[in-house]
Formats: sequence, structure tokens, C-alpha cells
Amino acid sequence: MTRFIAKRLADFDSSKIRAAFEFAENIPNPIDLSIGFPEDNTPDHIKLAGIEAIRNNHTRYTSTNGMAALRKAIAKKLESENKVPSGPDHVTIMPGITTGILLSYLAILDPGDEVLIPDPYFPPYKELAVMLGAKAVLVDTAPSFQLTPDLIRPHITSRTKAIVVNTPNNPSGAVYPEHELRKIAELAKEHDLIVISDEVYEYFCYDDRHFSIGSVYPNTLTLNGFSKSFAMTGWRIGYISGPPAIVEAINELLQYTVFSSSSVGQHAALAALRHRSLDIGTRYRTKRDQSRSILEKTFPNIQGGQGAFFFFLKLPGQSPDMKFVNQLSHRGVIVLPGSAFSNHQNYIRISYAGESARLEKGLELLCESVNIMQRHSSID
Amino acid sequence: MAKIAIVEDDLAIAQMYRLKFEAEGHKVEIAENGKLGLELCKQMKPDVVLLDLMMPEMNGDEMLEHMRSSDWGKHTKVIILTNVGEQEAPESLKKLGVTAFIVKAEMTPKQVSELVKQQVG
Repeated sequence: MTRFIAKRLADFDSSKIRAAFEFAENIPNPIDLSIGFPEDNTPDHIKLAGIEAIRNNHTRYTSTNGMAALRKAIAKKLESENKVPSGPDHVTIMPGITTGILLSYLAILDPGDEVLIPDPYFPPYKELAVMLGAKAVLVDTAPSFQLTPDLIRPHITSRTKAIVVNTPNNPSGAVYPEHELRKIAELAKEHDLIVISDEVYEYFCYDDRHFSIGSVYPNTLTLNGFSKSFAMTGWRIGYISGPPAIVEAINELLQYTVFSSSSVGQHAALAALRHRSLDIGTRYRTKRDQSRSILEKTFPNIQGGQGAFFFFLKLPGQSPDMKFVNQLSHRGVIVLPGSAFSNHQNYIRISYAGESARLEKGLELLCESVNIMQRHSSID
Repeated sequence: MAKIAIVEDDLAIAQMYRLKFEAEGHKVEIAENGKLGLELCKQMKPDVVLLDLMMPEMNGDEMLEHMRSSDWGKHTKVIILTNVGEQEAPESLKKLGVTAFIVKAEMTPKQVSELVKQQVG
């Protein structure tokens, strides 16, 4: 049957994450340090808004770019909270940020165009660019995981069209400071680049304030959604705000792909914006601090982790990540191999978003395994 | 239902396999070193032993040697479960009748579980 699979999928690689889950298959009650979403349930007032929407028969298509009331509320939030110039016509709704990445790429990248992506990266940024025939140019940010103009500049060519900025970052947890983002904006202006700014973890920012690059650079597509900040991963609502000409192009693409995002999800998202509780960041700061204090004994030079709910940890020596991930799965702990997010082969991504009760145990088993590995200098 | 003995000093691993095998209806006991493993196997007469090599008190190879010299443990199936590659395993092991040799980093828990299942029928 493989002859039916399109050639554009030939270089598409999702094997590493799949392999990690296969290692863990059949493990009874594993400690899951791999998950990328909050353990919280969707708040009641949001759930009730969804139920009300169903009761009131708001169950049909909405406008392709989303409900006007939701777009207006998002624009207002962006202007007041993020200082990003916006308006209902700058905003379009879609089922989550990954769809937003695909549509942004489809709207701006021709085959052969280059998009700069900080490494480590959220996998769709690289894979979707490759799938569209564009070139994903990775900007290595290790070991600090900070993206700076000096790291970006050498990679800019005449084909560079866009640069991805993802702060707080998945998978490193790095938060880019305002002064660096301002300099990146200047660089983007100098080379006439589009900035794709993924801010889905904006409320998970523990040491500094989150800064939106769209507030100082108009040619920014700001991508955000409700999944993480409002524990709404299953409702599938994300959005893009940006220059109306690009947003209009994205709307055309939406018309022939998604057509309309979930109407019930949009009503729930509107309730989320109207009655916001922003304490989620405070709770996750505590989890970050607890996790960090356990990890620091084994990983003394942790970089990143100022936001989101991840640490991207370097294994000792040149230990291959896949072997370690498998070995740890024998102890009932699931983590993801760093090479699913990076050209580096000796990192792992851990998430502290999951079940609090067993987080400590999972981290201790992880540290113990690394210590054993260090003692034997190699896991072979 | 088979009787499985897990002799492993890493209790996290031992517990993980215990849960897995018990869920499949087997009777499972754990010992955390070779000395206790020997006692356990003598009483339990397991159908299969999952045996770690590097353990405190008494190593896996030493335990197996004692087991093979006894009447009750001459023919028990033994699966070596370790991080040491087969090439680096003690020479003495090869003469002691090992059913399978599992390097943990090279097999997934699912594969280990399937291998054990094959052995216990």
C-alpha cells in the first residue's frame, strides 16, 4: 500500500516520539513525564458556556474566520494585555496552533523559501516546512536555549522569508527577554522578514514578564490558543493575529481546509476570555520550583525552564537519548527523546505538567537512572 | 497461570514487571539480591526466573550457579535481565543454561513481557 502514500511525506519524521510511546506501551500505570498539557480540568464556567451553546443550538458552522464576538474579544485581549495592535479583522480562529502553523506556512512560504527555526523546536515547525518544500533552517540555541540576533544573523539568506519565535519555549522552557526580542524585531525589519510568534505558553512565565514581539514589529503573526492557559486542549480553539493581508490569505486557506472551527468550542473560548483566572501560572511556578530542586542535584547546569512546563536536559557524555528513554521506560517512567525536538542526540524533554502526586517519584527515578549511567560512564 | 520470580535490585523495575505479569494472571514474587533470590526460588519453584546480574550480596551469575547445582533448580528457565551486553557477561553464565539474555536498553518492556509470555506458555 505504500505506493499510495504521497512523496511529500517521505521526509516527514514523527518516528522518535512514536517510538518513545511504543517503549512505554503495556507499562502498567506509568509515571508520565512526557505530556504537553496541564493536568487541570477545564474550569466549570467554561464548560457551562459550552453546554449552554449546545442547548441554545449554536451547533452550526460559524464564519470561516470565527465568531465576530470571539475575534473582537481576542483583539481586545491582545491590545490591552500584550500591547499588540489588533482588531477583529486582524484575527482568525482555527482548531489549535498546529493548524495555525500549517496555514501560516501555506500562506507565506513558496517551495525553496527558508524559515528560521530555533533548535530545539516544537516538531511541526520543522516537519511542516519540509513537507511544503520549504527549507527549515535550524538556529542552534544550545546550551542556553536563548535566541539572539547574533545566532540568527549568519543564517539569513536572500530566500529567508520568516523566523519562528516561540517564547516561553517548548521544549526548553526558555523565556526570551524583552531586550532580545526588540533586537530580533529590528533584525527582522532590516531583512523584511515575517515573524511567526508562538505564545501559547504566555501565562506560564515564572521569572520575567512575557513580552510579545508583535507589540514592536507589525509584520508578526501572533499565534496563541486556549489549550494550555485554560486547560482546553480538547476544545480545539487557537488563533492567529497579524497583518490583515496575510490573515485574509489564511482565511482563504481556511475556507478550503477547516471551513469552520467548532462553534461550541468558540463559545467556550469566549467565556474563558470574559472571566479569566490567571492563577494557573502561579501553580505551575510551584511545580517548576519543586521539579528544579530535585533535578538540580543531578543536572547542576540546567538551562531554560523559565516558563512553559518543560525542561530540556542534557544527558551525561554523549549518551544516546533513545537508549536512555527506553531504559527509563523499564522503570515505568516516560520521557521524550530530545532528538525528536532537535538536531542534538543527547537531550531529553521532561514535562512537569502531569499528575502532581507522582511527579517527585518520577523525577527521582529519572535522576537515579542518570546517576547510574554516570557511574558506568555509558549506558552500554 | 505461571510462577515468575524476579530477582532484581532495582525495585522500580521489579515492581513495574510485577504489576505487568500479575495483570496477566501470573503469580509473581520479588527478591532484591542473589542471596534472597536463591531462598525465594527454593521455596517458590518458579516456572521462570527473571534474573539481574549486578546485585549486592550475591550476583546473578553466582546465584544461578548455586541454583543449577541444586535438585530443584537444575532445569528452571532463567532469563537474564541486565544492562550489560551479552558479550561482556561472565563466561560462566554460558555454561549454566540461560534461556534468554535481555539487554534492557535494547528491548522495550513490551518485548520483554512477550518473551516471558512465550517461555511460560
